[in-house]
Amino acid sequence: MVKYRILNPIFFAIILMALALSSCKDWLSIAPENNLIKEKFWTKTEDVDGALAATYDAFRNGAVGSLAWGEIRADLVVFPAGQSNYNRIAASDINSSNDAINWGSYYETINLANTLMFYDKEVFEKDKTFTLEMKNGVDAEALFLRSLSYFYLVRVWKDVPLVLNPSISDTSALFLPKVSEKEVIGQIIKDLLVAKDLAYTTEFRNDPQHPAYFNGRANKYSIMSLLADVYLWDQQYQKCIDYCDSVSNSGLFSLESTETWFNIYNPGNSPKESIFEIQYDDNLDGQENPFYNDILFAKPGLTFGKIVTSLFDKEDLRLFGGDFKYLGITIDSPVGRSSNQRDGHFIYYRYADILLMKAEAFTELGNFVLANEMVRVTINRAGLNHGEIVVKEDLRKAILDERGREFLLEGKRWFDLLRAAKRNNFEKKQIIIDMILAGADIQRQAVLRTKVFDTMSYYLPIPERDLIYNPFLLQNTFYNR
Amino acid sequence: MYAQKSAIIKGHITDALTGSSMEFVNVVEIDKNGRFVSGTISDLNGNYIIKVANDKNPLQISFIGYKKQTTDINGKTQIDIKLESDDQTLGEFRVEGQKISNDGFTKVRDRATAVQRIDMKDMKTLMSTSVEDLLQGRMGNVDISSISGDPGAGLNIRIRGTATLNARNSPLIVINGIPYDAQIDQNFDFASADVEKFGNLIDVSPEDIETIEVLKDASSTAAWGSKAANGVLMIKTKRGIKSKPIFEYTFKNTIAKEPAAIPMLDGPGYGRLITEEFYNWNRNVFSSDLRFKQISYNPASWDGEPVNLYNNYSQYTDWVKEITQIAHTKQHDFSIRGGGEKSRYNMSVGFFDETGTTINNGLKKLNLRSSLDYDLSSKLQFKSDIMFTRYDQYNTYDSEDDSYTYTGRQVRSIAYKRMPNLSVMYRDTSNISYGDYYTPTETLQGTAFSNYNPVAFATLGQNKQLKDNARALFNIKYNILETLIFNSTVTLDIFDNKREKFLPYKAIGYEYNSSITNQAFNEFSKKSSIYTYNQVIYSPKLGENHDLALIGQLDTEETLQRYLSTETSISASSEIQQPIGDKHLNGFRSWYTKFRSMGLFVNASYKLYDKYIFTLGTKYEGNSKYSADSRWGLFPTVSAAWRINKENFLKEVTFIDDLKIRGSWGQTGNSPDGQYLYFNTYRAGSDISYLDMQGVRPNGIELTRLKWETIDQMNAGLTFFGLDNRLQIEFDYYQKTTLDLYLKDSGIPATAGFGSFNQNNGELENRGMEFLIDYTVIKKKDFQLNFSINLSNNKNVVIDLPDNYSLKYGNMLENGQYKISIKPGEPMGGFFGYNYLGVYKNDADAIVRDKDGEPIYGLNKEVPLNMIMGGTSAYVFEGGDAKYEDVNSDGKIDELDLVYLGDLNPKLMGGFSNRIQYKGFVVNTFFYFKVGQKIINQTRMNTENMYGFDNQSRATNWRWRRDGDITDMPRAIYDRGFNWLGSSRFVEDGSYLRLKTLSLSYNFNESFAQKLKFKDLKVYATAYNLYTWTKYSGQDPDVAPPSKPDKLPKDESRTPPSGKILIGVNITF
Repeated sequence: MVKYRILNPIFFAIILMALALSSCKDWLSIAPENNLIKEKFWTKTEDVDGALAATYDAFRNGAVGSLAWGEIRADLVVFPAGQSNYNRIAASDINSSNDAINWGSYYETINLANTLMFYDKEVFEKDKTFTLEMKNGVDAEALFLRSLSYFYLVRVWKDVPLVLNPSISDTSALFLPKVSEKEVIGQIIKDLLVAKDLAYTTEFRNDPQHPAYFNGRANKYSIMSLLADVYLWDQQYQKCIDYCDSVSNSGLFSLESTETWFNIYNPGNSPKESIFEIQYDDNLDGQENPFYNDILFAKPGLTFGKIVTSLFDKEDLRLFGGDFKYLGITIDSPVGRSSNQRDGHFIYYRYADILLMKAEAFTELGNFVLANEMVRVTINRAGLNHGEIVVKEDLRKAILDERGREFLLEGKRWFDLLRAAKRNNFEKKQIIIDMILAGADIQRQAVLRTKVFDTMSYYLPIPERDLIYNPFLLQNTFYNR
Repeated sequence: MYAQKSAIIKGHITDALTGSSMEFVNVVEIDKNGRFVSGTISDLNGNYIIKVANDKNPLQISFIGYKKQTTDINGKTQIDIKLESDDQTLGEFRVEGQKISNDGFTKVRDRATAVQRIDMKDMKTLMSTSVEDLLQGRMGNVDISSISGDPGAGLNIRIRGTATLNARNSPLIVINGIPYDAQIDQNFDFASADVEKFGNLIDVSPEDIETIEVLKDASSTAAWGSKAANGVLMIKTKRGIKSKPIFEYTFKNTIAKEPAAIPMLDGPGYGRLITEEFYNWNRNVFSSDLRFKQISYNPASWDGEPVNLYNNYSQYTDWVKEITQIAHTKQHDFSIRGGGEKSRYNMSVGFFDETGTTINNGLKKLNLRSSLDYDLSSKLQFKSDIMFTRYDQYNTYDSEDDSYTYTGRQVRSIAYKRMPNLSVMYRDTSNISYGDYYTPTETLQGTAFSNYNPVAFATLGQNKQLKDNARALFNIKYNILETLIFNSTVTLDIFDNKREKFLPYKAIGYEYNSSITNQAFNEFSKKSSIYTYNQVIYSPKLGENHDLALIGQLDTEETLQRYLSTETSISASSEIQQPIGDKHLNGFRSWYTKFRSMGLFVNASYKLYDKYIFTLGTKYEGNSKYSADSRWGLFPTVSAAWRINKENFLKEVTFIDDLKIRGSWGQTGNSPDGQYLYFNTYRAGSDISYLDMQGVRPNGIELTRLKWETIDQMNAGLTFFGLDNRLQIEFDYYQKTTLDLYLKDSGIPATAGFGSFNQNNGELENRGMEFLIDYTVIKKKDFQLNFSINLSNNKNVVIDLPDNYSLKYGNMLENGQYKISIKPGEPMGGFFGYNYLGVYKNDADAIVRDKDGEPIYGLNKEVPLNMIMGGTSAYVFEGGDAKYEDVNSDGKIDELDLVYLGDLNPKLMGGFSNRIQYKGFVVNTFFYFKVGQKIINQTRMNTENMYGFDNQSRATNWRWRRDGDITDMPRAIYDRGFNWLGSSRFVEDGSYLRLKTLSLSYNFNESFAQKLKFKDLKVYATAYNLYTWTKYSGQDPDVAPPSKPDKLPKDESRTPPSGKILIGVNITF
């Protein structure tokens, strides 16, 4: 007779349940095996490097926008007909639902920079190969990218939300109101003053392993150039000059000669003149310059505004530049880059800018001699002569024109004009008014004539999507009507 | 104390009533614990012989349909038995009260919840090819609609409406007490989540099913936890019974034919239309255009071209007909059932072979199933189920492929629009065709990429799937005490799928070295799950008037999913159909996920005086999708019922058999698709790198606040049985509110650095009623007459949605789009468009009018203003253009003129059936209807827009052609105008009444069957979808609702369900 011995099932069940419930906390915690998760990230030097690369990449995604905001509402460049969103903005037919009006890349950069600065402290604790010097360098680069993003934001939108903490989880502050331009500029200056002392200096200069790091990543000199630019915008002229001098006095930078001028654009990263350029490389997947496909290769393509013919002397070597700066045609070999050489960099600061910023600041401080001296350098380099100007208004105009010529299609013109117009509480807003009216057709002029006096119309509306999603955000008063 | 003594007992068993000998009767020796010690069965003459181990043990004699007898041996060696027949176990309705529901412990009669049950015995005379076919329309608020009529396409099932925006909406299918989920989680890829194409397939042959129950309210689904948030379809398969072996064989043969398609223009009609379109576009005669040749039947226009070109462009082809065929289905089902006192078995094998109504579509299926029940003793029972299904499915290349289905490039769409003068086969100079398809790389209609030869594409393109599903279940039930039962189940489920696709260059007409040809795609996916259920049921004896049952249950699930796919193109030969070798690699994907869940369920039910029934239950559930803080949810339920007819004041009313008022309330959790939801994942990639530094960045923000979506449901109902159980009435009202609605991709301001996140915010409500009457008017041995009606409705409304979840889609300044906007107070699935008012009869008619219809003049007061299109197009309407209502009378058609056009939710749906049985004949009719749903007839939009070079429907012959024409069909104009804006013109009422089944069966009488050595012989014929009454102009109004809130209810010419005729035979022996 077989005897069945069975464990008392109730007892068995109770044990099972007790075991299950006590261990279920672990049993139900499963991490994804084919995904990188935050818990496994932020432990090593290379994690910081990867995050830094992604921050640069995010900023680079906004570069076409940076170019557009610098040119589209100004008078030098007319975007291709296919770019209807930009064209509407150019014609001052602006509303917040225009898809081109998008500040996403800047805030993406800001958030990634914030995240990087938040977590590299943890890596510093965990990984001893991640030295204090490396951490400082990374922080300086993050602060630079954040500041440059904010500088674009205040110049394009004026008052914007100031995000200084990373968006880490759904408990982070994701819905922030606007703060004033003044406060944002204050933050930028504060950050850059910190960053300039943390940053690398010449470590990457002539580094054969990383030939592009010196121009492609932020260092002390790019930070000081940006600082000078911000001070100029903020009408702190002496400080602008001081930081321009710091860049000059480093002895690292000078102008390319008339003969080698084209090297600035092709191949780019001029060892003399370049200070900071966002890098593109068609040989690397996903790093080709989109400007080629979207703008330069479009048919019909990019054209110059009417003013260009009167602005440039026929002999001016830079007229030959234009969009060809990106295509890379040189006088010697009139062959541009081919369609799979989309690697013209986007130049944010080069030495000519330092000189002309200084010229502008000297003019405002009344030192016309030094101002003339600065302008003369770039004009001479272009193969032309500069006669001494002694009237302040004339000098202002001359510098503005020279900047227009020197930085044609480098995304500076609108900001130059706006800076000139807004000086001393929009003393010279007629500059913008004239330009906007000149750019519109007769019918449109009638509509615009009543509107251009509102200086808030020189700034773009807050993107519609953000207004819908963020109840604390108020539209730019001009577009609210 | 005496020793055990073995003995040999003999005997003879007879029927107490007739005195005839009984064969196959079970004779079993049982010990004092009720355990079986030994057993035998009686022979053909009714004699048995058994060796007992202990002559103190009693013998138990039993046979199905007879009362069980127990007799002591008492030293006897010859024991003759007379068995009395037991009407109790055979009487149909008396058993009803004792029936146990599919959950295993609740009596059907005592349920206080909203559950509907179909007993397949009642369906026996109604043969159907699939479970879905059988269920459609028979159950209140169970909305089943086909995703496509193609074999293996599956169905869309909704119980009581759509209750969630982003989690799964389909009900849980439970087979023999274990969830069955064949869907592989395609949502792993967060970018493209579309459940629409994956329908539910219920993997069981209708022949194997015993009962199906639909659990609708929270109280009934509580035990199943979150998986059951959208209801449960519970299927119980047939098991072995105590009897000698019964063999059953069923054969079904089905012929299916599609409903009539939209009639399209023939070649000459197409040519005239295109010429006119072109003329209206630029006032140029099209014949001067080189492309004119391609639509000319005049050989003279082809001068200078090779003669065979003319031959290939001057045919009369009906492309839809070319890709359509009469479909056949064959089904064989064979089963053996039987068993004795100790063990019972059921084994079945089914083979199914179906071809689709679209060419090169088909499905072969092999089902094997076996179940074994073994009673070790009256206390300990084991059960095991093994099930295996193989699918061998082949479809056209485009099916389930986003790049075809969402771009209007699926075979059927192309067949509708392809030039009807093109030849199917290549023709030579003598107009003779050989075996090759005619696949020009480019025609007037554009490149072959978007306008291929659909016959070549369907025939030569391959899309094969081989699926193996296997399930093994092991169950042990131990009656520890009479009042205490322990029940434990372990199940392993495996779904294995391989899909192979190949598109040879000949199928599309491109060169073999083009990147879209010789495209080979392989996909492997595997899902395996382990389920465990452990139950303790305690039902103490508290006297006659009290029934109490306490249940505790612990369940776990672990599911692993693996996926690997690879795609290549440009293989050197069309014979290399696998993605191997040195070819262009288009894509490679691989992932692996793991999911775990655990639930604890406790439930108490109490019945007092057989009058008052109370149930109280709670499910405590957690799973691995949520973080430790929000992982666990507690979901309580209560229900109560009052059996009124047992009260004194109704005791005298004899026609009432059962009258019960029911009420329940409960909550269920629902968790969304996708795994690892709370983790903050990072991605790396060359696309986010800078210089030589490899970029890594977070995909989004960490979702620490994610929690369970809670469905709160109230149900009130009434059950009535009367007139000797011949009349059944059921009524239910419910209100179902989804709280903490899971919103995927809710917008966050860009200032946060990310575009969107997922959150729980918002509220959705479904409300409705269900009503059922089943009345057997006559119930005699030779004549039975039964009517049954069910009606249901569901009303869906969004109660609350946050601002940052605004669903707005559709650019209304472009042709062909409708606007979706989900707002509080409106139902989901609603859409907006313009109000179509017909056609401007001439230019002078296309002017702005005020509310009273008076023209509005411009500044000069003489010429009325022209109606214009909003936006930047500056289009001025002309005679022959579509006229839309200018709602705000501003002279401009734009977003401000949009009106609400409707939604897909039917206002009322249901079915009614009638069954007549006369002797061996049974006639069943079943009608199914839906009222009030609105459908966008996309096919009509595509075939009536007269905007491009697509072929158009014959209805366009009524188009506006010259000034003054009064018609509803606008003019033909190439690439200009706004004649097909999303408007009321293409929105149709999808109400319909369908004669879903009409069946006739004949059961041969016993004596005839026995002459053929059969126990039972039945033949039957069923017609499906015989006729549909509808105003809908498309092929079929049964359009599946979109699976996601941003999709419109469009009829996009998928293969429609067909009219079918089925004949079959069922033999038992």
